Amino acid sequence: MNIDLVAFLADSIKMATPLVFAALAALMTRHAGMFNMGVEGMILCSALGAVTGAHYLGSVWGGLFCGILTGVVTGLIIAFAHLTGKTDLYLTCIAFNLAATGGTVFIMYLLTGEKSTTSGAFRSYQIPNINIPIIKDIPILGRIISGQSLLTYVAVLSVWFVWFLLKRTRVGLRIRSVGENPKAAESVGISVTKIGYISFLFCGVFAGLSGTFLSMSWVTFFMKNMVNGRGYIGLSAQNMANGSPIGSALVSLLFGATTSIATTMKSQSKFPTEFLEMVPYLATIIAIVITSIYNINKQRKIEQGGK
Amino acid sequence: MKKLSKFLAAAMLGLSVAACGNGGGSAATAAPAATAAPAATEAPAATEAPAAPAETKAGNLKIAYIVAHLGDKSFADSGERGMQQLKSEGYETKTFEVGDDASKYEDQILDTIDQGYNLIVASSTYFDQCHALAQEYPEVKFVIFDDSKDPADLLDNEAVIFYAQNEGSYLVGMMAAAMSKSGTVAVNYGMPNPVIFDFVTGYVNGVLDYNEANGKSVKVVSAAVGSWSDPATMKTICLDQARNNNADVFYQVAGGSGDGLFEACVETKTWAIGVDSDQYQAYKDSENPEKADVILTSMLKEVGNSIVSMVHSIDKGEDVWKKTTTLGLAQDSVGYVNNEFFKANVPADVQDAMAKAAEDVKSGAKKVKSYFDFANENEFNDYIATAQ
Repeated sequence: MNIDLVAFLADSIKMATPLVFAALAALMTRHAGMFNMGVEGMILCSALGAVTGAHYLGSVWGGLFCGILTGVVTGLIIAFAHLTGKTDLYLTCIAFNLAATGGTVFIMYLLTGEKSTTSGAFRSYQIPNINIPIIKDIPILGRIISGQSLLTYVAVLSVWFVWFLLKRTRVGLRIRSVGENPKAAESVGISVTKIGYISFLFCGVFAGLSGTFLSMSWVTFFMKNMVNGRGYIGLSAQNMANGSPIGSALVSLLFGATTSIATTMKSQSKFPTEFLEMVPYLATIIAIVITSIYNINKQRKIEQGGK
Repeated sequence: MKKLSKFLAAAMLGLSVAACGNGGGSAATAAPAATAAPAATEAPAATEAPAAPAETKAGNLKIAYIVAHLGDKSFADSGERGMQQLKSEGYETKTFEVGDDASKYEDQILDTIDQGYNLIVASSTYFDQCHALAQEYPEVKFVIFDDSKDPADLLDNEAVIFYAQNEGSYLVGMMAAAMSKSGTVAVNYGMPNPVIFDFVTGYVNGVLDYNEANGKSVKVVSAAVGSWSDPATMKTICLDQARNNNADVFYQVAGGSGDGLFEACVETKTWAIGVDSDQYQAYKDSENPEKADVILTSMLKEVGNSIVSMVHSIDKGEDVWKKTTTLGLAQDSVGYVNNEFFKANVPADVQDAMAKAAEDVKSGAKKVKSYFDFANENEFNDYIATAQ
């Protein structure tokens, strides 16, 4: 046995991709003041939406479009319930996630007669992997950076896009001001509801990309519960990074790496599986505690400096 | 676009319906049974004349089949095929899908008893609930399949069916070792439990016996996905094993996660072995027939046939109660798929060796190691380590 480190790093990036998208999705609503746990369910719905779209429209890009569309539609459902219907966001998200678990299986059954997977009933389509010219010829770096899924590169661009959107545009400023203090934003004529919908719209796009990556790039079919908590991990990634897009991406990368370590250790069958199952989540908790302590200390310093 | 708007409408409708229906109890369905027919083994039940006992005694038995969900294309669906066969023989049967919430199992099984079903057929998942009800309702009979219990732990109205999955896995293990060019084969499973370890034990036994007979040293790597429905992780594990261990034959015992293994095999151009039902045929008949061309064979576990023959035995008044009935190669309850693809790709001498080994196991000349022979899990781990 000799572990291929370069492949391990490339794997970490692949595994981080759905987490980055999930983190960005959660981040968009967070900045508008809403902690959206429904990301998990939105990703699950999008994963089904993507393969369904690809099958019926007969193309990869149709699948990508439908995946994103499903993300947006499900995001707007939550937004409608919370913003227009004034429901409690946490309860709505819990209900939505439970509904998504059963609902995706139900829709899959309606469309295909299958209850577990679309691997037989739907034609498989895969988002292409991209070999970047020049970079792919660089010895080690080429194998890590080049040859990833198209969506992985989209994820990198998305991180920059979200940063730009939030920090450098008028909409971004409004989203942040609504998140910081909705009453103050309202008093200067910003519609909190409208901004909420806009943030959910972006959230839906990223959740859609995350789901599409799972069902059309990592594997090429939908399976019930295939998200397996990746939405929640993305959620805590952005939480740890305190809402910073670049920080969220880095933390996602860390989680991608821990998952990759766990998988490699699993496949070498030397460690108890139950322990390895725990590793990514344990890393989450430890990381949250560390960042929390760091933030508290920082806060304390500010307060002391104020005196 | 018309199609698109239609399924979006269905999507919205589905979400709202499922929100109410998710916890709604046991929905009895007559889901269309999957059509994949066993290729290599002849159904034992089909060869018996089923009409005679069915007509005379069918009135006494009302059979309820308890299952989490149909549609897994293997285990649960195989049982459903058995139910369909019993139905066509004149028995009154009904399938109850009870979902994944263990706290509701007992109530749902009790419901079926209240509806007058007097023979409850359920997998080992439901043993505890069935055992509790069996004490309360001595007149109701319980058949628990895919489990192994000591007679002392059973009641007079309980019968347990155990499958010798180690015997079938032994044969595909031999084949895997023979087909491996790199000298490493893999077996990846969903979650660790005794039945799954029995698959692994048989497989490792097959590889070790091949090594001994041919003077080779083929190694076995194994891994748990940690879920029955995480094909993404399964795919990554297999790619990892192909890369770091040079594994080139993969055996899946992972339910839904197994689809990830087949994709990894397509990508790395390695061989796969399916499980429970003929997965080559299932893919060949599907929208993605090219994925079938890595599946050399599948280890068969004929759940449906075993239930049918068990019901026939009960009808004939045979003594099956308060004990575990073991069904293996000799009863044609486990086996391997022996189709054209298998014959075209597996060398003739390997095929012969498998057929001969099957005869030896059937006659009792060869005893395949079983997980249930081990005193504890450490012994099992030590045994697995000998092949690493």
